[in-house]
Amino acid sequence: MGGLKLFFVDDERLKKVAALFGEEAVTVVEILEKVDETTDFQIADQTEIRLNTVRKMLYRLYDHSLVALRRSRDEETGWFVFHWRLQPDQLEGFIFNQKRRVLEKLETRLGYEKSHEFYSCQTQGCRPLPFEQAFELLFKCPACNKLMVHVNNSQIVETITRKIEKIKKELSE
Amino acid sequence: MPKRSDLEHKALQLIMNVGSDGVLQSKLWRKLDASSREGSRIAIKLENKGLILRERELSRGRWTYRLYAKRKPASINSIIDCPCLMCPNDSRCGPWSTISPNECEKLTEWLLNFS
Repeated sequence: MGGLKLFFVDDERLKKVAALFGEEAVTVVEILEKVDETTDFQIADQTEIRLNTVRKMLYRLYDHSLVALRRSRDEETGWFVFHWRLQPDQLEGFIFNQKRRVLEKLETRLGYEKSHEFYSCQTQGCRPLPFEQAFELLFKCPACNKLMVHVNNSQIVETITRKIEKIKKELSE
Repeated sequence: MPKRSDLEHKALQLIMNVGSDGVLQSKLWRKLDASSREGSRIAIKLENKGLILRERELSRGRWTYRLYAKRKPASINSIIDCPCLMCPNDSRCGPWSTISPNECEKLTEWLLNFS
């Protein structure tokens, strides 16, 4: 502990990431930011968030290595006490992994959009179907029974392509 | 007096915050409330660790260094509102699964918001 922390952590980025885990996670992170290490009991006391919610948030952050955990035994009760500390040096890795994950999904989707022709009844709430499914349904929408017509998906293809390019560029910086 | 390690951390944050313009070493130690000797040592240390670049520059008739961060901090802004990030179905989502990015309505909605 107390070693040289040579990484860049700005408050804004940390809060944005914490917000992904929920409002309570932001409060938990704010407490952890101020101290080197603290227990879940102390966080619950300071924030008035229920202890099980505090623990839930901590474990979710722990799943992504954004917090670290140390266990000790209470000499009086014999129970385990969990000491938590923020690992802001993992923030970069977290962002990087999430971008790679989103990129993978977008590439899958792009392949699907490019390799299919879509038909839609153009009714709000009804989703377009690929040709194979629309053909089996005799081009009648399974939700509203209206006739489906060919739709141009070039706009979504372009959007996904742009998004993929942006994420790839960011990942290479 | 602040600890050396704290100063290094603060210095790196400052250098990264100024972005591509860089910051003069002489200005940096003033901002950090450190001595010029301390500031120069910190800058050398950060350079040796490969975290910053130092370029010699003449400022007000005196030679100093301009310090640049080598790496930009990664931003999450481009994907912050992507529904995949905290999707509860993530473990079951894949190209050949019942839940798939191909037909995910939340993902479609997110994409359509850009177009």
